[in-house]
Amino acid sequence: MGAIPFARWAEAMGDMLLPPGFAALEPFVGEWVLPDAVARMAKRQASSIAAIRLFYDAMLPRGAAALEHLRQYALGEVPPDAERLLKLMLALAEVAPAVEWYGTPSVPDGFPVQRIRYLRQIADNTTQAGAI
Amino acid sequence: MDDLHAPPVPGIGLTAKYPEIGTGPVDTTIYHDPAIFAQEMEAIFKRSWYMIGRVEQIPKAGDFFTCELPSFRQAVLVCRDREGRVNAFHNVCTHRGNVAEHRAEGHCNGLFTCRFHGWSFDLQGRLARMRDEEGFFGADRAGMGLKKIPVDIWEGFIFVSPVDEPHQTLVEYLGEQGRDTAGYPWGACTQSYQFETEIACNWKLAVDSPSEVYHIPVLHPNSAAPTMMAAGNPHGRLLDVTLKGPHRTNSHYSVLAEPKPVQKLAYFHAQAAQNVVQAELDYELPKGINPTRSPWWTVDLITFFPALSFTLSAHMYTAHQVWPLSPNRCLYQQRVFVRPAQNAGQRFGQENTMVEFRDVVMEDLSTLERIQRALDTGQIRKFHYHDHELALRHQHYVVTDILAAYEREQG
Repeated sequence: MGAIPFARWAEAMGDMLLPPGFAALEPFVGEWVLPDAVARMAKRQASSIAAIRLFYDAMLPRGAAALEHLRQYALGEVPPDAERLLKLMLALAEVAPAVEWYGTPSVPDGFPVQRIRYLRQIADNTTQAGAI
Repeated sequence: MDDLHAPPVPGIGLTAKYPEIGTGPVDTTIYHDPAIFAQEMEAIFKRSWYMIGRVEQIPKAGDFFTCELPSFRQAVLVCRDREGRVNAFHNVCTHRGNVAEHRAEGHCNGLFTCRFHGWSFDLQGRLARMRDEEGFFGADRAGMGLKKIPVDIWEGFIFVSPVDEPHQTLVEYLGEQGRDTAGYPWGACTQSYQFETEIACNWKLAVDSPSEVYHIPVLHPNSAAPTMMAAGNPHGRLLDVTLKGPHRTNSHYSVLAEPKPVQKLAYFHAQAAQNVVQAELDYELPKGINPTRSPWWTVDLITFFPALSFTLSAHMYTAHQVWPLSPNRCLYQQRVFVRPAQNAGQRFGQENTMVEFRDVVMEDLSTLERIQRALDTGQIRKFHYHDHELALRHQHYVVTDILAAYEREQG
């Protein structure tokens, strides 16, 4: 499913895809809002470095503002528009080494990340034990 | 703070602290020989304890998780009972051997029910229900409970022994290394990721992989090197290596480097744990962590022989367990523990920590199968260790020493 049908659906529902002020990032919602860390890792590995850079370059200048917006929500209580923004930021965390360290989607000459299996992940929007 | 800008260059001389270890090249046979591997399983692995999880995974009575001890092909069921005790069993139904509990984790209302014929076991492992018991010839249920596995807890970590009569207690196994690292806020990092992979290499190579940082400037030029080598430490030397019986600790040097752009977001806007100099701590480090109390400390690699290591910094840690499968195969399990996110912004810092660590591990693991090929083909028969590769020399020394003692013991 691409960004456009989802955007139209969200618009029809009277809902904004992303919180006010982040509309410029909406074109990335369809491709880079993903269910979990495993899906984000797979997306990075399946993307060209050009596509990753396009996403990274759009996200980075808005990163501090996005985190400021997200800091007002407790996990488990993040509304849908902010949750999509959170997931875009988590995708930024996933792709950052590709851009900043490697210049390629995967670790150059590295162990194939496709060979690792995740047994446990941290849920993206669930209350965490020990949070005050 | 001026002295922090001119850190000292760590010197040569770590190995000289331990003259019994020697300084010459070492024979590589123990990294590939099948007979030695079989001896290691008997003399080392059956005599050790294995960390399989944390108490926070099963906070309430009836909570459980299941796992395997891959080196021993044993299925394990761990639960908390109504008295608050953590119990561990062979996850094997005593009727025909199917797993008693098939789920990876969850909560049960006091009974584990086998999905084969429906026998049920309680939180103490007792056989609570045999379906159509009348047809079992008066079998005595009392002797047909789940078989217990020796279990004990250290600092919230659940350890089990793969043999019925452990060679030593958990406290004895952990030894001085356990005493010196107890008291770190292990339980404060309530959130964790876990991943695993099979690697076609001897278990000792996977343990070696993070145990020297001589490779940092070359293998990790853009990831770890900017903080861990820096101008004052061009070869990425360690602050210290401490050997404690079979266990050991590497203490790592770092300087404050300019973070990359996304690291800045994670560190300064999402409270991600920084693996760099920490001026302020909200707790006191136990004496076995940053043992030299260096202001240039960043991370300790705390190894419990044979194959459990913690990569530990002030506010996060990882735990990796290497499971031998054959002379040239192992399973590498890695857990990344971070503090709970207080808000949605901090969730980003957790992910940044995990992704960066995972990618650095992918850099580390890249060499292992190539080294194993050179070992298996006889293309390398000696390893030459640098002074700061002392941890690897120590592992070789300990393994060789234990196997020699085992041979004497077997007569």
